[in-house]
Amino acid sequence: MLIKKHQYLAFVLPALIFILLIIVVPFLIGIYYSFTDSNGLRASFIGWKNFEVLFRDATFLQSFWLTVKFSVVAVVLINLVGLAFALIVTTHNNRLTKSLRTIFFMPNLIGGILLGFIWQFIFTSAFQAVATAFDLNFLKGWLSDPTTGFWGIVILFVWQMSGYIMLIYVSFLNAIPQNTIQAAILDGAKPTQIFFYVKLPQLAPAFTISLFLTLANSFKLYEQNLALTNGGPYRSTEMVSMYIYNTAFVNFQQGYAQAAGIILFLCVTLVSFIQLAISRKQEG
Amino acid sequence: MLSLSLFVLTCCSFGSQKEQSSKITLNFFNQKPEISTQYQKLARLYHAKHPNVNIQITTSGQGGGAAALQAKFASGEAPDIIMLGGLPEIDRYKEHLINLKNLQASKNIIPALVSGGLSNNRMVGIPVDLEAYGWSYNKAVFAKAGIDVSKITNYSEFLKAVQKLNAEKKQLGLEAVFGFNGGDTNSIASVSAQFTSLPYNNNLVKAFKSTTFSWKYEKQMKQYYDLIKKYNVQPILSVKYDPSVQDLFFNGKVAMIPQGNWIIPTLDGLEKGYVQKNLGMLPFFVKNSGSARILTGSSWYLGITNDHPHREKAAKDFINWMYTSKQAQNVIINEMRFVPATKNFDVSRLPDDLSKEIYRIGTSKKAQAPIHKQYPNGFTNQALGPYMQRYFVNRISWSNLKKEVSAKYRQLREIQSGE
Repeated sequence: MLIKKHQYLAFVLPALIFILLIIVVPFLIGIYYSFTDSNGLRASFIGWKNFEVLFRDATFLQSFWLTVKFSVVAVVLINLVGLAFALIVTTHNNRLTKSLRTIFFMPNLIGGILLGFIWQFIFTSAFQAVATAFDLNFLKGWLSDPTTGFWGIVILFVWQMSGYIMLIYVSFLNAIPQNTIQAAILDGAKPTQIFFYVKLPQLAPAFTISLFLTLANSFKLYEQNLALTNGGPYRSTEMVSMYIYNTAFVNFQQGYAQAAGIILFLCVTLVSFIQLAISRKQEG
Repeated sequence: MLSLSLFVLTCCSFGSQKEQSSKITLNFFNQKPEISTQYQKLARLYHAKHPNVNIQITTSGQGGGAAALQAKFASGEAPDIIMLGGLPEIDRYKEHLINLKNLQASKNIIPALVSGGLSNNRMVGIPVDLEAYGWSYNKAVFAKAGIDVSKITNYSEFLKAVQKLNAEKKQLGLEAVFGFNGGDTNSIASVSAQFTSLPYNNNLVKAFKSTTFSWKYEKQMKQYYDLIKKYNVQPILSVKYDPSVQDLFFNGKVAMIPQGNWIIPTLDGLEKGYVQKNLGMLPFFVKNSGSARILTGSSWYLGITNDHPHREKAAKDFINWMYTSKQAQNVIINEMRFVPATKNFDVSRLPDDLSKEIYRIGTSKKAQAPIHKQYPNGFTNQALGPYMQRYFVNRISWSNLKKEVSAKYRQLREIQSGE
């Protein structure tokens, strides 16, 4: 070993202290607050009461269920679209595909709040204009209906995340040894066969990463939700992060919101672990 | 090396201590972004007169203000002067607020507004301005339709006017009669106050303590909401505040919107003199006794914190100056376009007729303050607003709405007062 143990410690310690102070300690304090009736300024211990109430709170359960639905839809769509993008930009290596890479990735460079407002304009004003011009009634009032409001957030999020996921797939697609593909071509495999039997199995690690990223991100979705619909119409598109924020900073029931946050944390951890375990197994 | 740095440190701390005794920086937390430039101007004017007092204004609003203010307190940087929206928020900081009873500025506050700043009978907040709640109507549209507004003194007259406007929609160039911004829960709350305020008779503390939502004027409430539903720009939930004022109302595409005098700066900003020419206000006819008036109250109160005792006096002086000096008042009435919340104000100084009328109504004996700012935290945008929006699009019956709203009101009130 080149570095001795105490030197090793000296390198790790600064980062460790910051992680402890900024992440671990607040997290532990947070767990404590989930057992209190904190309103942000005063708090007293009330045991499991927050959790008991939480599991009977229809609004919380509704927003949680909405988040689950959203995550499933978003994860599937983002990975499909991202993979499709990746295949498009890796088929040829010319100027068009290079500029397409930039175009597909661009939405990811814009912040969530801004994206939300841009799409709000599209869904309300642009859709409305198209609807009146061509007499297409289904394009009217997208954000004032629970179903289309939900799909509005899905579309926005897919549009934003696909480019990023595309990058991951692109790097893995490029890493596939060319000789395996050439061998398949020599054997007379069609492009679809090459994709399903040669490329796809070698993309397994990319799926692990992409699924993990999209899943965690869609569970935590907040700013797109805020800027696009702000939970409306009538709280029907309020996801669990927004529920937590509103309970904490609008209702000032911070202990209760903290309890909801803990539940969200447990769920995200659990789902991520299960997903990682399954994907790893398949990779192996 | 160590001694050198110690030396530098002592120098620094000594220097800052010296500075503190002569110069004071007051932190003012403002929750109304639309007037932050005018507050900056007041701060500059005050600084010019009192060179040793600097006023640092922090502005955060539009939903995030309350949370930002709490973050200030939690981080130990409590501001000296804070703007608070209603008794629920005042109650949250009651231990930090000092009694302003003996302040020169407090003596002139319009009596109907005083209870909105009380905590345990201590006067901890003074109202920022006088706001009027009712229907803002476009005088030009009404004139074109040949409606004499002075004749509208009860609900049936109002209904007739609405129906007339609706029938002549095309000729008048109207999209609809009402431009109710159903997408904003705040406007839903302020309209609901038209029906929930009367039972409390200006006792805002009582409204704040109440564990039940008042349905005393339920019949009239439903009548009005059904009327709005029928004659509003559709889809009603897509109508938002800014477009409803700056496009629908300003361009005469609707005849009425449920807003008050806070739209004055926007309208006059778009076209000078618009307000004097086109803006009028109509009350909601709730009691139908012929005495209906627009509601007048204050959504925001200023308080001084006790976290920095050495700056308390400077904070008091600044507030006194804002409420009593002519120079400050001129900025407030002409640039913020506020109607002052103080009595014995020379009404002729106000720049437009509507403001004058609001001042007269607000200072009269029959003035009635709205209570929507005393609803529990979160009630407006998490219960009343969403359920009313459901009602607008026929997703809930009136009786279920009543049940849900009442239950949620009680639940939130009990949680929030139970500490």
